[in-house]
Order: sequence, then structure tokens, then C-alpha cells
Amino acid sequence: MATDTGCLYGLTFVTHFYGARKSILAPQLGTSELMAGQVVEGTRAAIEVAAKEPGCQLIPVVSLCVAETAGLPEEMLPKKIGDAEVVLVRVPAYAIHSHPEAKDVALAALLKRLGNATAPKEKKTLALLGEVFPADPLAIDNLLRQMGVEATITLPGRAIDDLRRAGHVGALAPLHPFYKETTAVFRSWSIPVVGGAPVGISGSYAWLKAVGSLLELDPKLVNDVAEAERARAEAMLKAQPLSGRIFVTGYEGTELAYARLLVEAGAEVPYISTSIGQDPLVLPDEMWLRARGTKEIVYRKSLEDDVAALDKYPPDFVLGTTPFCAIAKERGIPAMYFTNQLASRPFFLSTGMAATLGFINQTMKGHERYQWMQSFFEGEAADA
Amino acid sequence: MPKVIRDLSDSSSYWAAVWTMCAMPDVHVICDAPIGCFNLVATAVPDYTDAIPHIENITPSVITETEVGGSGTGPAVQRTYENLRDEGILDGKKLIVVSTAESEMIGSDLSDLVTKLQPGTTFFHSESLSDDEWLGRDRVLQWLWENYGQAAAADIQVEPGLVNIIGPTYGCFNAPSDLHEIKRTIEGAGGRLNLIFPYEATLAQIAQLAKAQVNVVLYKEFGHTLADSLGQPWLHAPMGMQGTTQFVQKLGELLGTQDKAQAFIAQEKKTTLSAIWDLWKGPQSDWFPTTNIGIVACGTYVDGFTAFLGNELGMPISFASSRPLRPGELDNEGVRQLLHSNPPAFVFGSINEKIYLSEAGARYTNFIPASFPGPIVRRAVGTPFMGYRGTVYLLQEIVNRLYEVLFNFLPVDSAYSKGPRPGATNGASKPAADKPGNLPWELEAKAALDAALDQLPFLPRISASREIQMQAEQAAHEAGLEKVTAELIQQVLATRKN
Amino acid sequence: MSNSIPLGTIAQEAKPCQLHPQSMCPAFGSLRVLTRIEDRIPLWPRIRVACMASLL
Repeated sequence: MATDTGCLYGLTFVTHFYGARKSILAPQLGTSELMAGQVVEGTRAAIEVAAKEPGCQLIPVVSLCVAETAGLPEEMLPKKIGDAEVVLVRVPAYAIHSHPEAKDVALAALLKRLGNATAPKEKKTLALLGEVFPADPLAIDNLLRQMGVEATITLPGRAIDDLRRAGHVGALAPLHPFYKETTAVFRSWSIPVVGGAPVGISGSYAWLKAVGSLLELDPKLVNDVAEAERARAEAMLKAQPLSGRIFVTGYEGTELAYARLLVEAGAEVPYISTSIGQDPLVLPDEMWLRARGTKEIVYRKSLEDDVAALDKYPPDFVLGTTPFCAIAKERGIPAMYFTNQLASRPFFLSTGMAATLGFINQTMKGHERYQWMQSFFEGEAADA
Repeated sequence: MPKVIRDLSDSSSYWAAVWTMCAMPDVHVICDAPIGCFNLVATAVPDYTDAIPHIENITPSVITETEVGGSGTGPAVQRTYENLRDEGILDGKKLIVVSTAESEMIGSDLSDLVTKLQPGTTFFHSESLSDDEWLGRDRVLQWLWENYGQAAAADIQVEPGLVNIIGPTYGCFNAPSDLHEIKRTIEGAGGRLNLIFPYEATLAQIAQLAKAQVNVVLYKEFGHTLADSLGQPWLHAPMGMQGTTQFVQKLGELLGTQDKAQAFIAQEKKTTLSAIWDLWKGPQSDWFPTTNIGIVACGTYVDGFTAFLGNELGMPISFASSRPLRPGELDNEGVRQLLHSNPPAFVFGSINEKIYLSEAGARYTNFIPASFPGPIVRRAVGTPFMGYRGTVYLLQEIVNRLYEVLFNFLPVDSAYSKGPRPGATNGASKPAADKPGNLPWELEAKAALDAALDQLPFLPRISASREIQMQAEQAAHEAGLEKVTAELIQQVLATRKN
Repeated sequence: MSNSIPLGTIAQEAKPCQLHPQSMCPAFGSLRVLTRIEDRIPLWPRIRVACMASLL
């Protein structure tokens, strides 16, 4: 007898691939358990085993397709066991549609349980919202403190207490455009939200100013910091400008922001696709990009959309999903998996810009290698 | 109390169906699945195991709320089929619709629907809510024979000397190497290869299975039902020196090529296997009786490692746990406890055992990948566990890792003086200031961190970045500093270099 | 920047069939967030282990 072991197998595999290194428990939910209506009972048993881990403080219960279809009433689960909070996160793949949006669902569930809605606000503090490269929050925090910000926290992060303290912050700054539910939680706590993100020259400048005005920081100080940062970014860009036609076709929900950076650096980005749905939060980036030559932006895309664009606007470089990158490489086009290569580098502010653009420039210089590989394996001389 | 799974080891029969059927290029599968069940089996996992960018001949019906909410999956499958047909993707292919846990959960039986799709389309009910990947592979191999081979096979005569290999699908650990060695072994014993099913076969060839005089089943976990159905004598693929020798002899008898088989064995002892004889005569074998081993792998490997490393070479087997689990063996909960308390010198296993060893900080235990789950590429054909070459590869691996242990841990004086290992969970860290959020970093400190990270190869940077950050912040707290200073980060970086 | 740019993709001639959706399993997003909550946090060492019950 087995549970929906396929789902568990695949999800734990990718979770460990990205370095979770945590033992994962699950109730056995096979035909007989489902027939006997033991979903709740099994889940409670798994929670009890988890609670026995020394020092356990948080037990997220992730409810997926089969359990959601069978039904798992939240009131049937304990809210707390020993010292550990039990938080139910409902993410059936048939209803959530994309990987980034599930990050939002999980974080919102944690905040609703652990966040303190009535906390007194610490006015000059900011919550950065987005799963980012570890060096990014350091860089952002550094600039913000120069402007007079007293503290920042990063969500989703590694500290449970950051979740508890989220209700104290003076403002929320979403760095990614898909944290809809999480943003709503902050709004319900009367915490204002900063628009935009510190991406590229103009985006970073506008964002720093917006933070300054929202947190009522000293305008002169804010202006000095923003100007200095803009000067750094411009100098950086002058040092390594980008050229060529690039596709940004990942599924992380951050593709428009990356495209914006590339366009600002001089690249042509005619085609962008992502897994998230269209949303007002993405609209500013969409309008910015369309005004600067982007011809197609596809939301909830399929491989076929991407392949059609490959024929329509043959690119010099592709940042995409693994199946799409494989197709690009079959045509000798340099291509890299967006998730592994870009999400694992600094991105924000001038330092992030330098890291990301440096990487892309370097990759594009290697285009002959991609052509050689293609001709070696599939070219006319392949049989020779 | 209901059963609780710790760190699942075996996937489901839906995965088995996809990994078996899609290995044949003239098949197209529609999986009746939500997007996740499609992505994980067809892209996310095989990317990192079979090292294929994605499985191309599979399309999901994409179950959404609409289907779960009452409309059923029939219309979605119908729509998917029509799109595939209109795009020409089904030209020259047979279409198979496969159920998943979720489609089974909502009771979607498409046996009738498939009769209205492209002629010859079939529905495979994968029993994904109840069967694991091993049972699943056995069942789907038999199902493929019954539906795509048996009828046409009635007219096919057995051809003496031909041998089938019934075996690897996607998601079988080390299959390319083991298959390569078993092919060599069969040919050495005097056989000629017929069909390698399903790894190197097409759906259209399945009836040809009936031509072989003998069948070799690569794994004990699956394929035997089909081998029984084929009605010819069959053998399991061998491991260990004795096992392989008996296999070659037996195959020679079955094929009437005894002389060839004997000559092959004699020749192998002088060539391939001479490495083992030399290592046995050398100082290496002196370590064997004190080098203990734990095994978590498919039962085929558990039996093979036990026979070769345990019985033939004399290494103590501390524990063995098969996939799927056999009665009386340690489950993951038991394996975890054992590895936490008393880890052996070598552990063959999956990423689960690797995690347990890392939880325990078991630095002196050598982990050797021998099972999925876990990201690992085994596409080179020179790393077999089966056959004569498998014995040499295994022994070479163990001896080299023993040398590595010597290199790393012999100078114990300097190793002990370094203090606690970074990342060790000893819980001894000092309570720190009760402050929210990120500790501020001086500009110069951040620059020093960036410069240090630049020196590292790309992949380790992510963890190094986090580790240095944590160490610096910890040090700042211990020093009572309000921020991470340039001086402090230099100290931290200097400690790391020692 | 013009406000007249419509929200929505520019009309595409002959949109291809959407046969291979491109997203990681959505649920993975939540696991990624949840499994990263770490046991050793320098600022608050009293937090030790975050466990997880994954319910399928």
C-alpha cells in the first residue's frame, strides 16, 4: 500500500536538490487509508512524529492534490503541539497553477498564524519580500541604513522570528510581483507597501526614493544615497554594456524584472514568458518593456509558445526552462536554465546588476562553443 | 496508529508507467495529471538522474479545479488528444493514456474514452494510489506484452542463440553501465542479443520478444512476470564473482555454448578479474575484515553487494535495507537511528542516507551513491555494479575511498585543534541580542565578502555566502558588535582558510 | 511611458497549441519556502529545528 507516493517522491527530490537537507514525513495515504477516511488521522500521526524532533518549533503541514480532493478540515488538526506551531498550507497543484504563486500561499499562511497584527510599528523598518540570493538583502540593507532605515527583515527567510516580527515593520517592499496574498496580509495590518523594486538604474533610483518618502526619511539623505547609487550603476553599465537579442523565458515569476535589467543594459528582449498569470502587480514592468521594444509577453506559457518565438525572433541567448533550453541548444543557440543560473546570483541594485550582466556577457562570448557542439552532434559533418 | 512515512524511497506506479513506456520512441503518453505530476516525472527528476533535458513523448491533460470539481477528466484528455493529432505529433505513434493518483482519486476511468480516440489507443490504469514503482514496472511490462506483442507473437519461432534483456527503464540507478556489462557477459557466454526491452526497443518490436531462446531479467524487482509469460527459460542478471561465473555457465548450458562460456570465464580471470586477485594478494585486502558496510538499495544490489563484498571479500555487513523493503528489514526510521548512533565505514544508499549521515555529522563514513532518490548522473558505461566488471569497479571504488580516508584523517592532531566544525548542531551558540532582521554590514565588510566569494568556484558560492554571513553575524554577536565590520569579516575569512 | 498600452498580450497570429505547460510543480514553491526555515539561526539560536509533515 502506498500513498500518492509519486507526488511525495518528486517533490522531496527537488526539495533536496535545492539543498533542503531535511527529513520529511508524510502520512501513508493509499487506497485503503483513503477508503477508510483516514486522511485526518494519518496527518495527525505524522504531526506527532514531527513534534518529537528535539527543539521543533514549527510544523508546516503541506496539503496537496490528493489530500485536498479527499478533504482535510483545518479544525481537525492541532494548532499547536508541545512548543511547535502547526500551520496548514494548502497548495493543490490543480488550483495554484504556478510554482511562484505557491511561495506566496505558503508565506501568507505562515504570516497569518505567526504574525502579530496589533504590534506597535517600528516606523523606520522595512520588510523585503522575495526569495532572493543571500547577498542581495545585505546590499539593500546597507544602502537603506545609509538613508536612515533602522532595520530590515527578509521574507521568506530562514528565521521563524522574522515571521513573528513582520507585523512590526514600517513598510513592506515586495521585490517580486507575485506575492499577492502576502501583500494583502500586510495591508490588513495597516502596513504600507512600496511599489517597484531596486532593479537596474532607473528602477533602483525610483525605489530608493519611494522607500524614503514612505518611511518619511530625511529627503536630502535619501537623495544623496539614491544619486550615488545611480552613479555607480551607470558607471557599471558603461563598463560592461550588453548587446544582442535575449529571451527571458523562465517559470520563476521574476522574468519581467530580469528582462528590464537586460534592456536597460542595452540588450534587445523581444520575447518574455513566465508561468505566473497576468496581474496588475506586473503591469508597470510590462508597460516599461513594451515601450522599449518587447513584442510579446506570454503569461502561463507553454513550451509551444516559446518554440514559436524561437522561430519568429531568433535570439542570441536564451534564459529559459530546461526543455526550452535544450531545444535552443539543439539549434546551437547559447541557453541557460533561468532557475539555476540567475536565481543563484545577486540581482538587485548596482552590485546585483554587475553580477548578472557580467555573467550574461561572459556566456554570450561563448556562443561558438554552442555552435560547435551542435555541429558536432547534429551538423552535416556529424556522420563524417 | 496510522503509518507514517519518513523520507519516501520508492516512487509510484504512475512514475513506473511513464518511465517504462516513454523509453520507447514510437509511444506517446497522455498522462491524466495536474501540471505538477507531469513536470516532476517528465522534467524535474529525469533532468538530474537520467540526465535527459525532458521526456518529450508525454503530454499532460492538465487537471484543474474544473475537472476535480465534477466535470471529470474526459473532456481534457479528449482536447489534449485533438491538439496532439492536429499538430501531427501522433503521426507514426501509438497513443497510451495513463492514470495518475489524482485522476484515480476523482474516479476517472477512461477505458471507454480511448476507444473514441486514434485507433489503437489504450488506457493504462496505473494503480498509482496503491502500487509502488517496482510493482508498477513489473505490471506495465506485462501489460505492454499483452496489448502490443502477444497476438502478433503467435507466428514467431524461437531462434536458437538469441537472448533478450528485460530490464531497465528510466529511473533505474546505474542502468547504462549494468546493461552494458550484462550485454558483454551474455555475448561472452555465447549468446546473441535480441531485444533490450524497453530501454532500446520500440513498441512495434515487442512481439519480437518471442524470438529469444533465453531471457535475462536485469532486476529481481520487476520483469519476472513478463519472463514467465514468454515461456522460455530465464535468468536474473548476476552480481559478484561466483554469481557471474554461475550465470555464464548456466547461460552456456541453456544455449548449448558451454565451451565458449568456459573459455570466457577463464579469459576474464586473466584480464578483467586479475585486478581483484592482485588487490587480494596486496595489502588492500587486509583492511576488508575491519571495513564495515551498510547497504540501502534495490534488493538486487543488496543481494549482490552482500554476496561480493560480504561473502567473497569478507567485509562485515552492518545492515542492509532493500527497496522495496523486505519483511524484517530496517525502515528509514530505523536506518536513520542507526546512522545517527553507529554509522559504518561505508554506506551505499540514496540521498536519504546521505542526509541522515550529514545530520549526524558522520564525517568518517564514506557515502557511495547506489540508489535513487537523489541527483546523480550514471550515464558512463564504465561504472557497473553487475557482472565481473562490476566487482572490479566496486572494489576499486572502496579501495580509493579508503586511501582518501587515510589522506583526510591521518593527521588527527591538527584536525582536532580546529574546534567545532562549522554547521555542527551542538546547540552551544550563545543567546544573542534580541533584535529583528538583518544585522547591518559595513560597506567594506560587504566588499570583503564579495571579494572572498569571487575567489570560489561558482557552485559553492551560494552555501559559502550563507555560511560566511552566519559566521560573521555570530562573531559580531559574540563580540557585542552592533554591526559586521570589515575587521571582523577579515577575521572570519582568515579562520575559514585554516 | 504611454498609458495607452493595453493590458494583455499583443494579438498573436496563429497561437500555437499549448501542449507542454512550463511550470515546476506549483507545490514546490511552498516547499522551497518552508524547508528553508533553518535550525541554526545566528540571531536567535533558541530556534532549532523546523520539521515538516508533507501531506499528499
